[in-house]
Amino acid sequence: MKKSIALLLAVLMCLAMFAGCGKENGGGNDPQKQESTYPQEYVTYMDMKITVNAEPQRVIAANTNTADQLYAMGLGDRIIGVCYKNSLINPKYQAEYDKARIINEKAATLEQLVAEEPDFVYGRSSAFSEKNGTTHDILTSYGISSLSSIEGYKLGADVEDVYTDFEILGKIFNKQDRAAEIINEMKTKISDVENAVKDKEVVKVFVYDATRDDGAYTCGNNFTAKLIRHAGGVNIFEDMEKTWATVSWESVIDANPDVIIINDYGSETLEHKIEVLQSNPALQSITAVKEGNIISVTLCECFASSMTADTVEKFAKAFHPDCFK
Amino acid sequence: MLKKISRLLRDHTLFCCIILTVLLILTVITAISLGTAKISFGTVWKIVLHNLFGLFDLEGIKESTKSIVWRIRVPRALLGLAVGASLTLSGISMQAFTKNPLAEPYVLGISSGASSGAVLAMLVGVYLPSGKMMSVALGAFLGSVVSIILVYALARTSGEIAPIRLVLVGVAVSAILRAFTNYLVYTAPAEAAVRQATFWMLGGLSGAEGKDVALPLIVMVISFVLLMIIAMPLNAMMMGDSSAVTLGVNVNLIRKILIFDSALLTSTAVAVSGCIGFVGLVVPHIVRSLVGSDHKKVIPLSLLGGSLLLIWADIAARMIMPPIELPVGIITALFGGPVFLWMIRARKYSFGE
Repeated sequence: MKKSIALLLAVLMCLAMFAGCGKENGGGNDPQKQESTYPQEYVTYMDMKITVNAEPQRVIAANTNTADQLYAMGLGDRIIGVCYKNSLINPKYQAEYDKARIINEKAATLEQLVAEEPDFVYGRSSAFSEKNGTTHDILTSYGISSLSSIEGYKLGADVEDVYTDFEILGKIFNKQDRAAEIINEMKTKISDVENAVKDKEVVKVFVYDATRDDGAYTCGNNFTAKLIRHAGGVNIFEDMEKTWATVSWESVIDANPDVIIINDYGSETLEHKIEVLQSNPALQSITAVKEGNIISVTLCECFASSMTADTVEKFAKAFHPDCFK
Repeated sequence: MLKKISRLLRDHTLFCCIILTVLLILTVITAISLGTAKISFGTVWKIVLHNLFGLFDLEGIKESTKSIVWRIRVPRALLGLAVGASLTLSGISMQAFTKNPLAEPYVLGISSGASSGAVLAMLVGVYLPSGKMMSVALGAFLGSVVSIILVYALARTSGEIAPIRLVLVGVAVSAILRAFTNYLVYTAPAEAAVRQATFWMLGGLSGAEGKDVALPLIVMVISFVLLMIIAMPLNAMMMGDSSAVTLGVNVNLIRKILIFDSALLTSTAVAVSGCIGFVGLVVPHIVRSLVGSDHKKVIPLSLLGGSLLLIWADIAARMIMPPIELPVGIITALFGGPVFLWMIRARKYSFGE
């Protein structure tokens, strides 16, 4: 994995250098405008190398949060289909997303992808599985470029990796200005939030995903935990060297979280998840349950998306409401 | 009805084999013609015949359509044929070896060995000397080979392998490897990789690629020939070791061939398709219940039956609720199970009759 990051960085640096050269030579009236050159090479999930030969025109968004990123980049008119429509996306683009054609409610098979004749598939790493015969290498052999969003496969992914996603999309689609705009907006929002909460005591947070094996399924040191950190909180299971795990309710009670974040997705409704927490007598001693400090996030909010900074802000408002009056 | 089929199969086995072969060819044709992408029957066969014999002009047919037919559907149908046959032949070998009706292709600990290998490849990320990451398929293959060697070495006493020892050692090694896999899964830092690895082990043909097909087909043919050569000694061994020895059968040699053959078949099948349950257990029993235990008849009929069952199960897996594909193991058990139960009741079948 380290190797893949190093390679990715190397590629990015080369591209940055190219971009830099272009700026010097171009000079003149529009110094901000950066033109992408093709072909471009990237190293993505499973260390696989992918090439983008031209600006993609027929794009498939293989997951909800990657669809969100593409819409945010203003690429809605190039999306020929989406998979896994299982979460709301950024409200700004939701109307457009609602109209998108669904290729498969789950991961698309190779036959479906090839039949759509896309030139670019963008998804979470899970969409590019050996099992379905849809790894990046296999898609490349069919002349289809594809890319995994970094947060899905990189351990310890943070907001920087979301910026990198957008930077890469900017280069691939020759929309580097739009990418820079999104990144700057996010950076500003996150640093504003960090400034607002910086003198506050860190709030203890428990992320509730579901009940499993009579315990709580929760995240450890993953992307959500990083977002919580930016918002002046700490995931009570952050020390766990796993992205996800089932923990005992006892350890939750022992940690006594101030706020609970519920992952709202799948067939179990949010109301039911809240009821599970509020009706469990053992949990009544927890501050978050006592004071009703329970919020929820959609999949798109807690994955790498155009809403990442909004999610940090949402967390901070729940953790430190007095800072945002 | 069943009696008639049974008599027909027993008395005219060669004739039935020819009929089943024709059915198998029709089945492969059907499998290639069906899929989530809507492609007309004519187009599909133009592409196939063009690639095979250079017939027809493919002008006006989209590149993606050609890819789907020739690079996705054809390998998948052929892989179904090879894997179905391999699992069935392996099941026959293991049932003959252990004289245990519950023996199945995975009795040598292959499925748990393969799981360990697959999970290891996925979670730990083993790098090959070539600098590429080891694929899950290769991990599964190596894992199954390791488990076979372990079971074989541990079950051997003074150069001989007693069937009951093999079963027991197989169970123990399986348990150890499964615990090892669970340990890896529970302590793995990345949830996504765990899901990928376990998903892979579910078994199915959806990842079939052209280059995956040749090896399983070759292994299938070699094993078939090998088993047909030892069919008579196998019949003798079904009557008990002492009778077999009296008839001049080298029981120990035959057993070694059976283990080798079964190991080769199953680990190849596992590497290309994960663990598909039920086919290797049930098809040999169904065939035996119809034609008796003469291996000269059981082997070819089972091979054809196994191929047919798996290809149809795969067709069902992708056609029942498109565009979602079900794991093929669900179908083999859901439809094969009741047929098997019915046969047991209708024929009062018992193993080794």
